[in-house]
Amino acid sequence: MLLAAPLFALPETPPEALAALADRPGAVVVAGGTEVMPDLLWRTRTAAGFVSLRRVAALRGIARTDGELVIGATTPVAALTSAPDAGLRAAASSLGTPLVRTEATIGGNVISALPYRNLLPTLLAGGATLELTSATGSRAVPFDGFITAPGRTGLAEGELLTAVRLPAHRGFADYTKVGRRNAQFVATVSAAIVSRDGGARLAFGNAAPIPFRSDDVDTAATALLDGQASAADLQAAVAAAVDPPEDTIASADYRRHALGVLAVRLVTRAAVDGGLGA
Amino acid sequence: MSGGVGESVRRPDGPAKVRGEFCYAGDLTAEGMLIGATLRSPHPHARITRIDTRAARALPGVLAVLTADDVPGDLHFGLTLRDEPVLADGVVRYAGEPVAVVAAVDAATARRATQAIEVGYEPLPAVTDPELARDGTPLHPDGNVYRHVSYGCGDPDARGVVTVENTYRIGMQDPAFLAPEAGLAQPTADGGVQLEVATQWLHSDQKQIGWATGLPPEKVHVQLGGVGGAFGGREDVTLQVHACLLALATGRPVKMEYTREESFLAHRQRHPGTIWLRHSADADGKLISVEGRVLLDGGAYASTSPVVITNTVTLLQGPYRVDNGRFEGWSVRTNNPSCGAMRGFGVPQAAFAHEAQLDALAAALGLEPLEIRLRNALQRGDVATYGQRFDAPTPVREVIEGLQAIPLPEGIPRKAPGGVGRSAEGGEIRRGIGYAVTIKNLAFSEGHVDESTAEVSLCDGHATVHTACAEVGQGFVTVAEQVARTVLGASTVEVTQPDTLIASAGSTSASRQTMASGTAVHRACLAVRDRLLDRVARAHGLDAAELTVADGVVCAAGKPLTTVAEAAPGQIFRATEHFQHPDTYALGSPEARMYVGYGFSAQRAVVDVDVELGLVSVVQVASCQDVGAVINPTQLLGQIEGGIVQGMGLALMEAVVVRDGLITNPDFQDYLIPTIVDAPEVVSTYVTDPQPGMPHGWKGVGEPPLCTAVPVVAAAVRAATGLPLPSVPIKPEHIALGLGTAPTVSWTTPRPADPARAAQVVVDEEPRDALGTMAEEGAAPARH
Repeated sequence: MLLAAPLFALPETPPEALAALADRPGAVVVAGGTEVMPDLLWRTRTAAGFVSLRRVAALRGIARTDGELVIGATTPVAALTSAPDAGLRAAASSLGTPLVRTEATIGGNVISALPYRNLLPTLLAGGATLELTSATGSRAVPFDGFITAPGRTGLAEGELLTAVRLPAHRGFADYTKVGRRNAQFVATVSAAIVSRDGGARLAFGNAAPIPFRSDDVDTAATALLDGQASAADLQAAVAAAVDPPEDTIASADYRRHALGVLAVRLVTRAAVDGGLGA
Repeated sequence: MSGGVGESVRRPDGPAKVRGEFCYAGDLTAEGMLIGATLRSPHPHARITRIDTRAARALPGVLAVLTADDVPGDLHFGLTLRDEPVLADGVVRYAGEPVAVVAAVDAATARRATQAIEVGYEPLPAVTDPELARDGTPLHPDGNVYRHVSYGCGDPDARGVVTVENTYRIGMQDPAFLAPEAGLAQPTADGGVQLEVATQWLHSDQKQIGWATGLPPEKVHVQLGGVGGAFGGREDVTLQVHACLLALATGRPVKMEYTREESFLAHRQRHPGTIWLRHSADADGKLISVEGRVLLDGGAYASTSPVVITNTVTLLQGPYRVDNGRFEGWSVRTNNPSCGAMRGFGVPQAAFAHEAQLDALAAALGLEPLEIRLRNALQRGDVATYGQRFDAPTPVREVIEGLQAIPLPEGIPRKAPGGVGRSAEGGEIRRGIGYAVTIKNLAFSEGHVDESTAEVSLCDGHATVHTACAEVGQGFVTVAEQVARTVLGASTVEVTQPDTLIASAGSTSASRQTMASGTAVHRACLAVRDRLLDRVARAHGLDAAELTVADGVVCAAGKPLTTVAEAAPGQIFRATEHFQHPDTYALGSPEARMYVGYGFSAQRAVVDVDVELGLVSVVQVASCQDVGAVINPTQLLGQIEGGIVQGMGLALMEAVVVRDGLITNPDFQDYLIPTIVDAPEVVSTYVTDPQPGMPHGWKGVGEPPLCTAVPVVAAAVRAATGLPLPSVPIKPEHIALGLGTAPTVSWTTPRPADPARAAQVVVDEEPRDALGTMAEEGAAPARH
C-alpha cells in the first residue's frame, strides 16, 4: 500500500526532505510509522503521498549543548529510554512495546498531538522548545501552545519538525501514567514533573483536549513541596484546573481524581528522591 | 514407553508455531484463488429498502456479488434455533450483520466492490436493553426469549439466621483469539465444495454449509485449517458458508480472512448478564436456601443462548449442597452483538455471583472464607437443585484442602499495581487474599449426543490416528499420541489433520475432547492392539490371551517375544471405534440427568491494590483442581495458566463495550487482554480421583480454571479494598471512587423447610425437547 502510493519520497538530508515536501502538497510525513500505518490500515487517514524521514540521518540522535538536550525529530523512543533526562526516560520506557519503541519517534509523538501521548507531559513540564524548519529557515517555538487541539499543531504548510530542545536541569524529573493493565497501554491519564530550586512544575496528559499545565496547580505543588500546603490542597487545585474527557475507558470523575493523585505522588517523589523540600 | 500417558509430551506443532512457520488458516493459498469480502450492516437494527449490486458487479476483477437472493438452499442457519440468515433478509438485527459477500481477484478489488454495493437502510429503534427486549415487541419472528427456565427444589422459603442478597453484573468478554477467522473454499469435481477452515466443529460447519448450498453432506468436505485459538468463538459459523457460496458461484477457490475489527463484529462473545441472588444460612454457615434470577443478553441471533442460560441457572448453587431453592433465568434477543459459546459457557457468570455471596455470608457470620465453603461442600451422593445425583467422585472438600496446603507467596512482589506506568510509587499498596471454589459441568448436556469416532492404524510400529476432533491449541494432538504409545506400543505416531471423511467428533468445547475423542482413540487402539496380538499369536502358535504390550514390546506370559515395530513386518492393522457418553436429558425430565460429569476447582488469589488509583496487580493464583488423571503435565499446566489469565482478564479488564448496539472497541488497543506483565505466578496442584468409565480416569480440564479465576480475583480485590465490587470487569474507578452496591445483609427468623416440600424438583414448565435443531445432528439443543 505504501509503495503503491502515487507519490513517495525517501530523502536523505533535511533540505531534500523539505524539497520533497514542497513537491508533494498533501503528502504525509512518516518516520517510524507507528502512527501513520495503523491509521492507513484502519482507514482513518488518507494520504496523497508520503515523505519518509527514515533515511534522513541528520534528524536522528541526541546531542548535549550548553544547557540543552537537542533531540533529533526522528530519534526513536527506544533511544530516549537512556536519555540524560529522568522524565524522558520514564515516559519513553512506558510507551508501547519494545517493538513500537524501536520504530516510534519523538517527532511523531509530538506531531500526532493527542493529549494522551506519552512524551508530551514531560516536554510540557520540562519547558521544551521545538525547532521547525522550512525552506526559508528555522524557527524555535515553545512546545507549550504548539498543540492547539487534538491532532492539530502550529506546524505551517511546508514546515518540518526537525528537533526537540529540552532544557537540561539539575533538579528532579519524573513521569507516571495510569491505564487499565500493567503494560502496553494508552494512558488513561498521565503526569510529569520537573522540580528545581524549590519549585515544582507539573504537566498532565488526558487532562484536557491538549497537554495541560496550569500556574495554579504549580503554585499548589510548590506549596506542598515546601510543606505549606497539604496533599488535599494540591488534589483540589488539580481537580479545579483540569477538564478531562469522559469515555468508555474512564469517567471524567475518575480522571480528575487520578490526576490529583498522580500530582501528589510526583511531588512526594520529588521531595523524597530529589532531596528537595521538607 | 517414552512419550506415553502421564508424560509431558511436546506438541508436534510447537516448534513451527514458535518459529513462525506454522500454517494458520490465514496462510492458505491456492492457484487461481479469489479473495472474498463481506459487506456488513452499519446499523444495529434497520429495514433494508433496497440492495443494488450492479455497480459492484461491473467492476473489473469482480467475479461474484451475492445477497440473500443468491443463496440456493435454506437461507437460515444457527446452532440451535436456525434463526439467522446467511445474508441479511430484509432486516438487519445487529451492527456487523453480513448483507452481501463478494469475490474478486484481489483483496483491494473485493473491498472496493463491497463499497460499490448500494444498500438502502431504514433505521429502526435498536433494542439494546435485555430487560426491555424480553418484555417488548419481537425483533424476529421467533420472538425475543431464547429460553426461559424456572424451577425450584425443596422449600425455597426456608430461612436461616442470616440472609444476604445482591445483584451482580458480568460484562461481555471476547474470546480474543489471536488468529482472525480464515478459510479457503474450493469447488470439487463432483459439483460439491471443499473448505479448509479454522473451526472448532467440522461437522457442524458441514451441516450448515449443506443447508445453505443445498448440497448433501457427501459433497461438502470440511478440513481443519491451522487454528490460532478459539475459546468457543469458532463454534458458530462465520465465514464458512459465505466462502463456500462464493466458490460455488465462481467455480474458483475463494479465500476469506477477517480483519481484527471484523473478527470482533462477526464472532460470538460471552453473554453479559445480570444475576440476582439471595442466600440464607444458619448460624454455622450451612446454606438453608438459595434463590436466583438470571438475565443474559443473547444479542441478535440465538447461537447457543438457549443452552447457556441453563448452565448459568442450574449452577448458581455452586459446588455446595443446596436443598431448598428457586431459580429462574432468561436468555433474550436484543440488537446487540450475538453471544454464544465461550470457555465456561455460562458458568463464569454464575460463579462470580455465587462466590461473592458465599464471602458475604462468611463475613456476616464471622467465618473464614474457606470454612463456610467446607461446611457446604458437595459430596458424592448429594442431589443437585435440578435433581441429578452426584454419582461420581465429587472432591470439593479435597480441592479446598489441596488449596490450603499451598503456601502463600513470600517476599516483595515483583510487579507493583500500575506496572510500567510506575504510578504506585509514592502511594500505598494494600494486599488482599481471596478464595473461590467452583463447579463446571463437563461435556454436552441435556440430551445432546456427546460422541466421537476414531480410526487408528498401525504398521511397523508407526501409528496413525484419525478423528474429526479440531485441535485448536488445547492439546488433543498430544493426548492422541500418548494414548497410541501407551496402548499400542507405537514408536512413532501421526495425528492426521481432522476432516469430515470420518464421523463427527462433536465440538472442541465443553472441556470434552479428551473424554470423547480421547476415549474413542483409546478404544480404537485397544482394537488394533488385539488384532496385532492375534496375528502374533497365530504366527508363534500362542494363545493371544497370554500376549500383552508394554513399552513397545510384545510379551508372552510376561516375557519379551518381539517388538511392536517388528511383530508383523509390512502388515497394516486398522480399527475404527466409537464412543458415546451415557444419555443426558433436559432439565425437568424424570431421568434427572442433565449433565455427563463435573470438574471442581479451588483457587486462592493474592493481589496488590493501589486503592487510591484503583489499580491491581495479581501477584499469585494458587489452584487445586479436580482433573481425574494427569495425562500431560505441561499441557495441563498450560490449560490452568491460560484459564486463570483469561478469567483474570474478565475480572479486571476485558469488556466489549457496546453503546447503542455498536461495539466501541473492536481492536486490541481498546479491548485489553492481560499481557505477560499482568499474568500472575500460578501454582497448580491436582486432585486425581479417577472419573468412572473413562480411560485412565481422565476428565475435562479446560474450563474450570477460568470459571474460578473470575470470582477469585474479585474476592482478593474485595479483601484488599473492603469494597463490594458486584460487577466485572472491575474498573479502576470502581475501586478509586468506591462504586458498586454492597450486599443487603438481614438477620432473619429461622424458618425450617416445610417437610412436605422437601427433596423434590418442581419445574415450572414442561421440559422442551425440541428447542431447535442442533446444527450437527438434529438432536435436542441442550448441551455443555
